[in-house]
Amino acid sequence: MKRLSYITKFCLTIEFFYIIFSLFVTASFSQQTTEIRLASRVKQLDEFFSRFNFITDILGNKIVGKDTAIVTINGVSKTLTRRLQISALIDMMKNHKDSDAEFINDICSNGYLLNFYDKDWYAVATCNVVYKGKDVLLNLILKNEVYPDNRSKWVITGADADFLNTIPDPKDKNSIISPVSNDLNFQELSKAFSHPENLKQFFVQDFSLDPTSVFYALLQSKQLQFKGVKSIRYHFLQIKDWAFTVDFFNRSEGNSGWLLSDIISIKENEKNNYKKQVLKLKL
Amino acid sequence: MKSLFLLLIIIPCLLPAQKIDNVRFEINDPNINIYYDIVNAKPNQDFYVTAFCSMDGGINYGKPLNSVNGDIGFSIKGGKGKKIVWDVLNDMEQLKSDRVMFKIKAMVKESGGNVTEQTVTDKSVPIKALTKDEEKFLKLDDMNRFKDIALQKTEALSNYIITITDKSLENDTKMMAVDQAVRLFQSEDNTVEVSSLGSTNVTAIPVRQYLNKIRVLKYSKIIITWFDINYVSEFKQGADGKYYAVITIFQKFEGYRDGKLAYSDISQKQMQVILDSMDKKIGDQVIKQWDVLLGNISVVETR
Repeated sequence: MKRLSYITKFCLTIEFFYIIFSLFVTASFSQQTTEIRLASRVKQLDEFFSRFNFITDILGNKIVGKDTAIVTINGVSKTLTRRLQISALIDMMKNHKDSDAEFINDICSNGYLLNFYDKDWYAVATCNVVYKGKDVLLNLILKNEVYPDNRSKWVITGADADFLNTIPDPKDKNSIISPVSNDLNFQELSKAFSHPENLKQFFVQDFSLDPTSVFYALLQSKQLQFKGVKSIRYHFLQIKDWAFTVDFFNRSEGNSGWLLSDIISIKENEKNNYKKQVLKLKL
Repeated sequence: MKSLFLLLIIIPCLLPAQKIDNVRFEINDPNINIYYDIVNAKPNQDFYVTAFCSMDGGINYGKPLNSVNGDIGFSIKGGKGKKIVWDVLNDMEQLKSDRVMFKIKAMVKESGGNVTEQTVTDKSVPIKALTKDEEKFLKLDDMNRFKDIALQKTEALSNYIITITDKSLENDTKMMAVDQAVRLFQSEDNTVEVSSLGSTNVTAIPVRQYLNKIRVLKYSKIIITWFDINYVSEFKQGADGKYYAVITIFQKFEGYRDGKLAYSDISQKQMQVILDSMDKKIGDQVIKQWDVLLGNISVVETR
């Protein structure tokens, strides 16, 4: 992968800001400025895909051209490249890494595209729930399940929260099911289960909870109430050697809406680790 | 292993009297059942049967049908009333032609161990008209047309909201506007998220409740304007067969008391659009009609 020179990166940034600046300097009225600002916001994930794939420009106009096109924004004609457009999809407030430019270079050189029906991308919804009378946060990991004829639906593939996988230490570490309990019809189980504070003592040493199953059971038994979704973060792993996240940035500036929040260089054989550690998926 | 090897290099050798006969079909949506007979077969003969489909009246048949089960493949015995079930949509997106023909091939291993490849017999049957229920899948032109209708419905909702919040109108007029607006939605269960400036909490309330809430807001004057910007996503088909899209619109709300601006916000609203089909009977024919309905509305931000 070629590393972009510092000068090239600097020029790309300047070019982006020139385009954004040109949108505002030619606006005569604040209303028009507001409209342009709202139009340039990445309003839906669909729009993110469309701009990333160089299908539409920041005002939603169709782009004619594979990697380069002439676009007219607010009466000003500019040369727009896919490289520049993807740069504009990055959250400008985040700490920029050299790998960001490498990522853009890789995408453009190889012509990688994003498709709603790709596998290996996930939504992590941070949700407000009520558990044991308290408001707590819980992450639901969802993916788009696609049928052969491209019908699809979102499905829950994981749940993550401390209270879903915490097994408290037993209060009485001497509480056991004795070695001869088998010949007594395991009568001691009855006593064991009457002390839930010691439950961990009666399971295998490496026993752990499956948070998703616990979530399912709590929901079904109505011990957990769902209140709403606080925020969503998307994780994309389908681009070769890269993983990136997309978040919603609620700002009044032009760089707002659904934007690339983090870009990680990652080998293909490490992606399963990412799914386990970051997405908390059981593989 | 030897028998497997022989099986893989199938050599047909039928006596002239053996043949495939009486090939017929029936549409059992989404499958097609193909029936045939193998007549005059010897008792212990095993046939290898394949089926083919032509869309151009038998000129081209292409590869053997893939998603099939029943009396097809290896070790098929002779006899009448053989049945093959073809899962059409697994092999192709749609089957539409008035010149569809099916071909059944049966090959059999020679006795004596010699193996030669030979097609013994086949039978083609023309089908008058075989069309798939094409209304199940929307074409691109239809999608664009429905996008326009969706935008019109959104505009209609905007106009109803302006009526509902107009303090100069009679309450009866506003109540009628509420009823009309609710009819744009898929059901009374659809919800609208509401928020207010300075608060990060959003609450989802049923659409009728939302419309009645804004009808009785305590301002002397309300001005609701919609920015001339919208974004319509592509329609995507859900697992339930309906199509879904999202329209993004921006709304400016201004509430006045005693002639002074008391409250103002700009919010981005995401409106779900649902494309649902229903059967409509016109005379003897039943045709599918698509209807565009509004669904849930979420608030993304308030400024």
